[in-house]
This record gives sequence, structure tokens and C-alpha cells, in this order.
Amino acid sequence: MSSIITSEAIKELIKAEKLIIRPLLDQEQITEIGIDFRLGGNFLVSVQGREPLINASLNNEFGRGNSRYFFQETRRQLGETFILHPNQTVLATSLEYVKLPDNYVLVLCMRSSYSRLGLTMSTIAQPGYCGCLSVELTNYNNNPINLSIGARLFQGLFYQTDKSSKYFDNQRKYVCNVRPEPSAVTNDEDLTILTRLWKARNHI
Amino acid sequence: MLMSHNTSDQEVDFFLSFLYNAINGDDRYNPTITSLLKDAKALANGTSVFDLDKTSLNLKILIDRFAHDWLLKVDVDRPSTDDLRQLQQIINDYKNYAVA
Amino acid sequence: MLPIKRLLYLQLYQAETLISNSRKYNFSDTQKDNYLKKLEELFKGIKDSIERGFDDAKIFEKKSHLDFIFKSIEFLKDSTLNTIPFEVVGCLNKAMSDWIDAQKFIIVTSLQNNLYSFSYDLSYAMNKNFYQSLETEYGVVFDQKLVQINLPLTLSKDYLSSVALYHELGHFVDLQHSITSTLRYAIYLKQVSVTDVLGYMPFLTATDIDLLKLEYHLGEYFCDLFAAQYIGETIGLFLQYITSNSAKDSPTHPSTVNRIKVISDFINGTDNPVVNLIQTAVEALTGKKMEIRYSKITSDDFYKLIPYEIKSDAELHGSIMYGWQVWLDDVGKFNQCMGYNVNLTEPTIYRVINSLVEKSIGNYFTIQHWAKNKV
Repeated sequence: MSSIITSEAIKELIKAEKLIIRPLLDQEQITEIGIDFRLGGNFLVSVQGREPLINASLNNEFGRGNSRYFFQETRRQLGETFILHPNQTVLATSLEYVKLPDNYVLVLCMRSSYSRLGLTMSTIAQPGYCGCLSVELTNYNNNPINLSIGARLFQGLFYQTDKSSKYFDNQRKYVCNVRPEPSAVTNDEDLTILTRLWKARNHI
Repeated sequence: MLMSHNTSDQEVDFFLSFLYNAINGDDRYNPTITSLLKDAKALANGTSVFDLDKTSLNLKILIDRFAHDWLLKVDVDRPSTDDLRQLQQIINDYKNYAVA
Repeated sequence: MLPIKRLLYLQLYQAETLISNSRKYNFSDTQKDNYLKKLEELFKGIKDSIERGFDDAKIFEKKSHLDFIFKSIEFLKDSTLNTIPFEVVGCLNKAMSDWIDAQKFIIVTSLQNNLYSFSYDLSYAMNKNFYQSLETEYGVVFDQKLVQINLPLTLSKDYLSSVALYHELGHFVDLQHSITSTLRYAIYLKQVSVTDVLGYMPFLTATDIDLLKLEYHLGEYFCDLFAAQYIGETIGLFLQYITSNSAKDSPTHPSTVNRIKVISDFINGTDNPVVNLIQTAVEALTGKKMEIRYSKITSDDFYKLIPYEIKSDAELHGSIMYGWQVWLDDVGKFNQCMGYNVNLTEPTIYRVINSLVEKSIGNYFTIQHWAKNKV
């Protein structure tokens, strides 16, 4: 049965270089049951595109609607701030670059100080993942929220899996990312099958 | 490289405008002019270019090259209006050599 | 009124519109805010002096003053972009600080549409007579000069090609200390012997030396050596590629073959007459020596798909060379270090290397800033 590992085990993994966290600015980020992660400075902000919608399908009755066209990049430096407007979703990453051991999953959630402001996110990183942790941040408050780059927004919990898995045994869309990347949802092979189905049904 | 070449042209033109102002009675540019003349004279007397102020170095070389004798005679601390006119003429006549 | 004077008035009112529009720029940097205020003060001085009436002979002066306002606002406007590659700029600023008092300059960055548009725009980086004119005519003193770094937008996250910027930084350092221009005159005045460098610059045997060609060639050799201090042989590799390893010189550039030889000799400590000539001028004018200022990184971190923990400024510059080293290395090493076949394609490796160089550099600055402000 998988369980959350606590601070001593986390420190051992880091010491053995099986878990890599760079940079770890403060040892106190390692809490009793996990690690606090900081907000990184790279963002993809959703913008109105010329296309009518974001097409998460390969069916083209509404045009291609590549998600890339609906996000604009912006950067901030450590100590600067980023304003998240009401109901706005942005793609962000952790400041820390992480490499997970082959037998641990990382579940990332909001620290309660920030979730109480109306911020939500959730992310899972698979065993062997390497890169900054990708986060979809949404503000459900009626007011804009001003966030500090480098602030400890997230807490990560490490769950041991019942067996090891090699991250690159499967084709990976996101490799060693250091900034948020737009969704590569249309690379999912299943969508190709589903589009064929749709075309067949509609004699396209 | 083209950028620094064009900057050099501009510096020559601005020095000429300082001379014009000084000749017309504006003495605010006298320190800049006398400073250049002093360095040019030092060069004429054998000082190494490495030891000179690099501002308008091209002009100092030009004046030494084309008006060496004049340079040795002129009072670089208190050049007269005539001296300034002569300097202006020298630079205008040989300006193309200053930028090369 | 002379038609050309009417054109000056046209430019004056164009500048007025520009200054008025620039008031909406919001810099989080007070240095830029203060610079903009000085431009406004300068504009007011220029406008007052033009409206009071002036000699036709001063048209050139007034035009140059207005041109400066246009250029400065162009620089400042570009700097409000929020996708600047701070990491590249950080590396360059570190290198620059070895040679130049960084407090004297405001460095801004612009992303250009032109591929390979790596350059420093130094239009107003020096120009002592020009700034003297502003101070004397209007009482406005610019303690800090604006310098713009240009990067191609499409390559702004490409650290492997950012090596070109170290060469361009060399031009800035050269201009600041008048290294190659002074050396050129020293050669012209026969204050320095050139017998040893005739093999590299045969045009020096002419009775009437082409001084412009001399300055260009010296400048390129200097910038190559300047860059080599920080990124080693990488600059030579890059040169070979973009110039197709030409064996011929041109009016503005020495042959690539000669440039590579000079770079290589400098790095290996082999005696080279061009290196010696330039080194003499550098020491005389800056009080410093050109020397190796990078540390070679020997690590498997990139092959393990993790950023390298940079420990010093020398390793900072070395991290770009490390990226090149990995790019030139056998792809199989990734599998070896990861312990299994990771199936990385070449495009993926290119992205991975750039990401890891960026993160390694970014982490170094993050840790420094954090430690400095923690106390």
C-alpha cells in the first residue's frame, strides 16, 4: 500500500541524489510530510485569440484552434509580482526543477494560506519526471490577487508506488520543461482514432 | 564597427560646433578646446597615444599630422580667436582623414 | 526660413508627441524612470532654445540632440517587454562588470525579428563631445548612458547561439576603453612595432596604411579574444559555421582561418603575435589582462536531465560551453547516464540542452539574490 513519505525519508532521498530539487533555497521547505514549492517566474496567460475556440479535438469543423494561440508568454524575476485576475487561469511552473525517483509520485496542491484566497490548482508528477512542476493556477476570488515570484504557494506530497517505472519508456510530450508549455493534448493518439470515427460517421 | 565609425563622425562634428561657438564669443566650450589642444601638443612632443585622453583622439592625431608646426607654436592654454579659426580650417580641410 | 530649418521644427514636434506618449511607460526600475525624466528636461531645453531663435549653423547640433531623444525613447520602449531572457543578460552583465563600471550604464534588451541580429547598440554609449554639448547648452547631465542588447526573437531562448553576444560585448568594452582605436593610432604613428603581425595583417606593409581596415581587423581580433576569455573555443566553432571557415579576409573582417588560430593560441597559451599586440594595448588602457575567465564543467548532470549547480562566475560562463559540449557529444551518453534507453530525438536534445543551460544559470542568480537578501 502506497503511503506519503515524511521529512526524514525525503531528506534521505535528496542526500542520495535520488530526488533532485534545484534550487532548494531553504531547508525549511522540507516540512513534516512533504516539500513546499515556490512560484516560478514564467507564465502563459490566456488571451483572446482570433480562432473561435480552443480545439482539444482533432475534428476540424470549427477550425484548428491550436491552444498555442490562446496563451501569451510573460516573465517575472524573483521578488517581482504577478497579478491573477478573477476567474483567470494561467499556466505557471514551480521555481524548483525536480527529478523524481522511479518509484515515487508527487502530488502538488495549494498551501492553505493561498487556497483561502481563492486560488486553486492541482498537479501530479509521475515517477521519473524531470522538469519544473507545471501548474494551472486559477483565481476564484472576486478580486485580483497579487502573487510574489518565489513565494511558497504549493505543497508537494510524495507517494511511494508499488513498483518502479521508467518515465521515458513512454513517449513524453513534456521533457525537462523549465517554463510552462501550452497543452499538447492534440498529440494524444486516441484523438486520431476518435477523429477517424467522426469522419466515417459523417462521410468526410 | 560601422556604429563606432559613425559615432566618430559625430564627435568631430560636435567639436567643430564647439569651435564655432567659441569663435562667436561663447567661452563655455573653452575648457574642452584647450584640453584637446594640450593633448595634441603633447602628442606632437612625443607622448605615447596610450597616455592621452581618448576623447577626440582622431582629431589630436589629425592636427599633429597636418598642422604639426602650427601646433608647436600655438598657446594651448589661451588660444586666440584667430588660432581657433585656424584650427577650424585645419579640421574642415582634413576632416576625411579624421574618420579614417 | 531655410527649408532645412522647417524640417527641424517638424522633428521638434514629432519629438514632443513621442515624449508625451512616453509618459505612460511604467518601469519597475527607477533608473529608467529617472532617465525618462531627464529626457523630458532635455526636450524642454531644446524646445526653448529653438523657439528663442538660433543660428542656422547650429541646425546640425539641434538635430543631433533631437535624434538622441528619439533613439533613447526607442531603447526605453523596447525595454518594457516582459519576455526578456534574463539569464543571457545576466551572464553578459557579469562579463561586462569585469571591464566596465556597470553603474555608468543602463542596459536594456530588445528582441528583434531579424535572425542572427545579435548586437549591442552603442549609438550613445560614449560620445563625450555629444554629452558635453547637452550639459553646456541645457545643463542636463546624463550620468548613466543607455546601451541596448539586441537578440533575435526566434533565438532568444537559444543559449548555444548566444555565444555571439560575448563577441558583441567585446565591441562595447573596446569602445569604452578605446582599445583598438588607440592601438591603430599607435601603429600609424609607429609607436608600436608590427613586424611580428605582418603574417596576419599583410596590408600593414603598404606606404599608406588603410587605417579603417586596420581598426576593423583589430576590433574583430579583440572581440574574438574577449569572447574566448569566457566561452573558450566555442566562439571559434560558431565563427567557422557562420562564415563557412573562409580563408580570405575582407575590408572589415580578418579571415576565419586566422581568427581561429588566434583564438586557439590564446586559449592554449601558445605565443601569438596578434594576441601579444592586443594584450599590450589592453593592459595599458584597462590595467587588466585578457585571460581565461571560465571554468570547464565536467559533470554528467545534463546527461541525467538535471540542471548543473553552478558554483562561481567562472562556472557560469562555463555552463554555456558545457551546453555546447553536450550538443557535440554522443547522444548515447544520455542513455548511459540515465541507466536506460530514454529515446531522446535530436530536436528534443536541442530543447533539453537549452532548457538545462537556462535553468542552471537562472538557479545560480536565484540563489545569489536569495542569499544576499536573506540577511
